[in-house]
Amino acid sequence: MPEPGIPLAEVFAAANSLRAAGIIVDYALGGALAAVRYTEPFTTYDADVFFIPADTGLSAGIPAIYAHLEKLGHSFEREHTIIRGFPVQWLATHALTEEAVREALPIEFDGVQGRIFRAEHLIAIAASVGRLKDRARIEQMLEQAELDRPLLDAILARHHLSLPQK
Amino acid sequence: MTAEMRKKLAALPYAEKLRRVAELIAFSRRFRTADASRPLVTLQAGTGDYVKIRDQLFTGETVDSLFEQAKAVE
Repeated sequence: MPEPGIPLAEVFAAANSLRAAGIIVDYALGGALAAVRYTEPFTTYDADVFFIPADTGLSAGIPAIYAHLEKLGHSFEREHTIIRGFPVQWLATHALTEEAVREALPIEFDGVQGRIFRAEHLIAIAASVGRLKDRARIEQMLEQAELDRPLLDAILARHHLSLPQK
Repeated sequence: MTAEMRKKLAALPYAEKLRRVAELIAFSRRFRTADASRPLVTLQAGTGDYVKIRDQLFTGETVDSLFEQAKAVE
C-alpha cells in the first residue's frame, strides 16, 4: 500500500533522472497540480509533467522514457506512470508548452529540486485548450493567483490567445 | 466559502496545499466507493422460491431453444 500524499519529490526525482540521462531536454510540472501552487487546493487525480523531448521524432522519445522509468521501478497503467501509487502523465511539449517549460520556475519539494509552470503560462495554456474546466481554472487563477499581468498579456498576444469573456 | 477565504487558502504553503489535495482525493475516492455500493444497498431480497420458478420457466428449454424464441420476439 503506497504512503498517502502526493509524491511530488519522487515525480521530480524521476524527471531529473530522465533529464540527466539525456532522454529529455527539460521538464516542468503543469496541469492542475501546478495550478494548486497558485490557488486554493482542489481535487486532481494525476500529475502532468511536460517535457521537451531530446528525440524530435514522432514518438517524442516516449518508449525510452517508459523504459527508463521502468528501470527506476515505476509501473504503468495505460497512459500513466504510477509513482508511489500516484498517476503521472508525461506530455511532449509544443510551441506554448515548450515556452512554459523553458520559462518555468525552480521549486524545491521535500529536498528535491524541480520545475513548475508559471501561473501566467497555466492561464495561457488553459485559454488555448478552452474546455469548461479550463475556463473555470482561468477564473480561479485570475481571482486567487498573484499574477504578472504584463507578462500574461504578452504570452497571450504572442500565441494569439484571449481570455474567455465572463 | 467567500472569495476572501479562498484567497487565504490560496496563500497556504504549497506542501500544505498538496496535503489537502491528498485528503480531498482520499475523501472523493471513499465517496465514489460509497456511491458505487449504493445499488447493492438498495437491492432488496425478493420473496418466493427462485429455483422453483426457474424450473417452471425453463424446464425442457435449451440455450438454443431460448435463443430461437428470443429471435422470434425480435
